[in-house]
Amino acid sequence: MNRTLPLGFVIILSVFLIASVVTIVNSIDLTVLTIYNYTRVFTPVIPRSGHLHVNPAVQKQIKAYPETERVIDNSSFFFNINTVFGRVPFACFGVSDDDRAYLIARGHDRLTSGRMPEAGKPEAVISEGIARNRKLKLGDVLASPTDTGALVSVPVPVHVVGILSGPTWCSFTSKEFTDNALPLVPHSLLVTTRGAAQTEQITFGDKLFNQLDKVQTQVFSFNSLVKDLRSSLASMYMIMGMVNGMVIFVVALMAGMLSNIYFTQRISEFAVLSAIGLRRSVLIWHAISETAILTTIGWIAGVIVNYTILSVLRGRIFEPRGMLINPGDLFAYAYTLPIPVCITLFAVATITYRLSRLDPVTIIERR
Amino acid sequence: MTDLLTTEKISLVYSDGDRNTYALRDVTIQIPDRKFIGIMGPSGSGKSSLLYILSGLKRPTGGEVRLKEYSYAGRPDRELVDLRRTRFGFVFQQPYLLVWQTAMENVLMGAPDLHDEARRKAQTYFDQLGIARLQNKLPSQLSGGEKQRVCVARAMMNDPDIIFADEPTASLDHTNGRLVIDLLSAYRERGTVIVVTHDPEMLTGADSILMMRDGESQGWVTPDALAEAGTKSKTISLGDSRP
Repeated sequence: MNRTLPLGFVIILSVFLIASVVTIVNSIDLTVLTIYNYTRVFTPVIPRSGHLHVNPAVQKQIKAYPETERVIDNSSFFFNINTVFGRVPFACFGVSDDDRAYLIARGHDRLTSGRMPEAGKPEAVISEGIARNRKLKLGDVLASPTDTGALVSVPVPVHVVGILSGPTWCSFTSKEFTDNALPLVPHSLLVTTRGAAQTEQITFGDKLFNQLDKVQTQVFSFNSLVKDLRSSLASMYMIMGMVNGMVIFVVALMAGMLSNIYFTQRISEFAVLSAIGLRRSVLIWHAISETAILTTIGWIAGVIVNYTILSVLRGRIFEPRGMLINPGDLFAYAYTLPIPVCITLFAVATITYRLSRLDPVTIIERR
Repeated sequence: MTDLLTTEKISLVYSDGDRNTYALRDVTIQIPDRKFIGIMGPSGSGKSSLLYILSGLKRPTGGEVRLKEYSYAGRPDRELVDLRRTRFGFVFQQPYLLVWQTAMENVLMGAPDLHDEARRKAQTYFDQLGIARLQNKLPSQLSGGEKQRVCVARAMMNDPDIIFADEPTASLDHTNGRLVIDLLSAYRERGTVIVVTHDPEMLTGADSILMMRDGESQGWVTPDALAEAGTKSKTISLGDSRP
């Protein structure tokens, strides 16, 4: 037990190191997907070339699609949200009461605190995630005329009057407010499909992205947004991927060498078993079994340690700063699989080599 | 009477350039079946080397070893490994056990197969050796004496013709050492036991003791003669190659 503990701890720490790094890197992607999740509920289409409205011909084209359920005309202002890669503008859509209720229900959100914005007033309802991200509560200012970095600023402070719970991050104000306060802001269209499934909306968003006149309009489909952001972060991903790869290689090699030392200490045990007539194949099988059990237990313990620590960090550090992280990121844990595999391979290779050259008597005589 | 194990002028020579060192020189002995045999001698007398050659762990540089009619000479290593597994049992000074396996699983490693019969037999040995309560414990939870008893049980699992024990009591206290020797001694009802030891007290129940010195056989003595020689400091009368 005294000899297996250090190896077990190395495996646990290695799994924790790699899984935590990968999880943190993946939090960027998680942030992207969460922020743009609303485009899985509806697809915004905005006019280009300084027009205030989407070209009527394009509007007609959209309405003619058999998939189209609603085309909601609106204008919006923007406020900043915090992410691991800096502040990002997020839209607050000005829509009618009926359309707002429709879109919120479509995103599987619901009002859990406060109320909906009153017509014409500088008020907004926001998702719980946005409230946490910005550390906002009811009555706080969501956006103000002095904000920097927002694409479209508001002329008066907009206060939070309602909080939504649910999986979709979104923000709404009244149509009357945006129409009155932002008369020169282009109106976008929020397009929804007849099917309520998000996969249908994503597919329809891609169709709009591909088929609508790109000179006249800009379509914010889920896939195009994710692709744009991922490509802008591609260099960072590449660097992180290389760092991850090097960490995995070094850690797996180190753990494998430690495993080698561990078995070197036990070679006399195997030598005596060989002396009493156990064939080498049996001994190698035992070595593999023992290593596999040890590395599996170490790996599981490492996963548990990583999940626990990242869960604590999420609650204490990430979420209070508006950063998203998923301690149960399966992709991150898959990255750690080379560790037990490498250690086992090392052990098998070492034991096989040593047993093939071993004279049991020399070990027994050395007692 | 047919001897179980015989050697014909076996030698073990280590060459170091022009110089030859004899670990064993022309040892010829016959060991009968169902006897408790001791091998004694000072350090470097060749007693352990003789045990390794008798058990097929080491090959002599000269001479021949036979188990009944089966000669070890010219046999491939794999065949000698099988011989050790099927016909011999071993107990060494250090009670090596697989650390991840329970006492019962370690004992079953000595069994030719893992049928229920083997488990029943192991259970019987655990009872006889007074370690029945330890069968599900890991080696790390056993004392040195308990581990050595597990090794004795493992050595008996294949019903060997011969149990070879190389200093089996050297790492144990007197009580545990005596217990292990008694267990081995009782095996003579089913096979031969050959014990190498420094300690003449551990061979008081032996049928015969082979005395070794400088790699040569000095002949056989009885435990009584050995004890008498010890108390009266007189020369022992040694026999020929047969005990």
